[in-house]
Amino acid sequence: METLDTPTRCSKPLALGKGERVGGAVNPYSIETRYMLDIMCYQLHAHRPRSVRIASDSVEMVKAVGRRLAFEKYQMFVPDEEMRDAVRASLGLEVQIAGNALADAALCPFSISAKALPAEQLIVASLKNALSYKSLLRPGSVGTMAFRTMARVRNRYHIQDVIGLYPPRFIAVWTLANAMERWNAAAYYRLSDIAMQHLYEFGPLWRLSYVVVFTGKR
Amino acid sequence: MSSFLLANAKEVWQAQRIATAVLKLDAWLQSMRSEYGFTGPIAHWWESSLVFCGPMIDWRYEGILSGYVTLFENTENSLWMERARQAAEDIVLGQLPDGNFFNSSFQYGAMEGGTPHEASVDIGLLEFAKLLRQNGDQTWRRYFDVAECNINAYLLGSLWNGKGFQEQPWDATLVPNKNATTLEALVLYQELADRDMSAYIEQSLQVILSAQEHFGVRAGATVHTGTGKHRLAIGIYTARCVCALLRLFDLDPRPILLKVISDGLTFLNRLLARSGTFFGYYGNGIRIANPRWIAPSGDLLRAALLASPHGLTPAGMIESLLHLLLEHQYASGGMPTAYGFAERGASRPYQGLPEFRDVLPVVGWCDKAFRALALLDLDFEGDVTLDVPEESRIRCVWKGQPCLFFEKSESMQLVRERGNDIIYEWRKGTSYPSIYRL
Repeated sequence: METLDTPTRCSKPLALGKGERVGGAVNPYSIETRYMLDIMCYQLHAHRPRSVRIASDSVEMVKAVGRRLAFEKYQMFVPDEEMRDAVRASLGLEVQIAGNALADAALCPFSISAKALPAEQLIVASLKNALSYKSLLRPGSVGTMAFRTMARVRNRYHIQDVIGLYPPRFIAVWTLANAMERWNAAAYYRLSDIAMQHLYEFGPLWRLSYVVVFTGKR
Repeated sequence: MSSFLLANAKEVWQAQRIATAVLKLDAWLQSMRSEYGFTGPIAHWWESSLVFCGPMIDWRYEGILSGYVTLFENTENSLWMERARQAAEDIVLGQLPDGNFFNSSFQYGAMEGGTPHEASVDIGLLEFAKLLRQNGDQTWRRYFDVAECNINAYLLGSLWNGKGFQEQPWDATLVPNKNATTLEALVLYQELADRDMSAYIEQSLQVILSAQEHFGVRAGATVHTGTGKHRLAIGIYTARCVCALLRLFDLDPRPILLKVISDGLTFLNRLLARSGTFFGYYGNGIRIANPRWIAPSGDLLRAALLASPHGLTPAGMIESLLHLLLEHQYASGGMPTAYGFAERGASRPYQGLPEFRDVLPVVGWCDKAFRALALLDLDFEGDVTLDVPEESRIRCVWKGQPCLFFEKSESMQLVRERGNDIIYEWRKGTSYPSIYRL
């Protein structure tokens, strides 16, 4: 059983969905979170803000972002003292408590809410999408429709660079790979590699992807 | 570490050509540095880190440090000492409060606790500390202390379970090549710390010995136990086991080790091909033809070179590996990772254009070639620094579409031929690509 402290770094290429949610908290070491944070930080990097606020109530998520932004020379803000101390103690990074300070950008991993949008000029956000394979596997497990939330965000931000993770093509090939694993190891490795090449969806099928990442600019 | 004189190899491969290859690799490695350390995208069998490209304190530091230490020992040129110290300082700054190393997980991206990466980093540091101590330089303690902290806190404190060193604190799998790397670190540590580590070393040895195959086409290979029911026999990991056993043999010359090493080398020799060394074998004995490793084959060359004085290296193996590495080196100094990623895992050798991950030069693979080539008796003439690397331009494919891969001194770029679209661009030294449309 995985816990928050058990990264899903297995010798197999991927264990989809493992550690996705443990005890109600997001596991930042899970594969979906790793690839999501990488692409979010890539989007942030493209805009080169001087300061960024990490909007998350998960200490582990804040630390996972810290690892990715450590060399970016951003001034990093975290929500509270507990997060600041955790980042300092485990990663040795200096971060500040957000308080009333307004950063250039807000990074919102699974923490964007259409009802309480960030005040920053730039946001890079991710959200789960009910219109995806996840709802087929576990009906009702995802409550948000990505395009609906983004429509509300669009009222205040110009949305650009939308990327989906786990689009239908990925899921189809991945499912086939796993079905083949028992009979043909070569086919399993070949197909799982093809699936991973389609993990990110840059086209319109982001609407049917399980995780959606986007940048919003005022 | 003495250098290896290779009469046969010298006939074909002039020492100066090998020396030039090493200098080009050095220039390329330096082009990949940021102020915090060595950077760059990563291609690997398990996963690839093509988005996060920032500095990582992983096994790249083993080959880089060890290579520079060997070059200094053999030439006494202070440049190599400076390079080694600069790399060692990256590690000192990259040690976390709990003893782990910052972002040590190579292909898995930004995460500490990588195995065998943290043990590999210790090897690099300890080889450098040993060199400094031999030269009477008291700063050796600075680097030794960092390695000791990691060994005590992580290797012994978190990974040791009484039977060997685990894959991770939460994963009890005992992976032979990871135990081999840890064994090497402990042999070095034991010497410098004057502390008996034999109990740990012996158990690690048992993990390696118990994983060696004895029959069929896989004979001599060490099985990667982390691959579960697939039981993959993987060449580059077998090579790392062979290197560890050779280091142990120097300390404790047990005849059984020579048999294991010899069988391992026989297996490795069967993997050689002109386009790279075959990845390995499936559990059912079917060969995994794709990818064929190029830069990572440096670890096979190191095994062959270190075994040579014992008369265990198959005839022609060193020359074949030298040929592979030197023939494939880019004008820019880097080396491609592999050939055949386009059909990863397939048993029929791939024949088409190389894939993007094939042509990508990766610091954590090129260090293997650098380390092995540095072991040779090199003929440096005049200035040992080369100018900024030249541009490389290679045709390749990505998702079946023809592309061009460009490497310049300041960037790497993948351009789709149809439409001339840049689908990947990474500026050296930065943590993320400036364009990612793979």
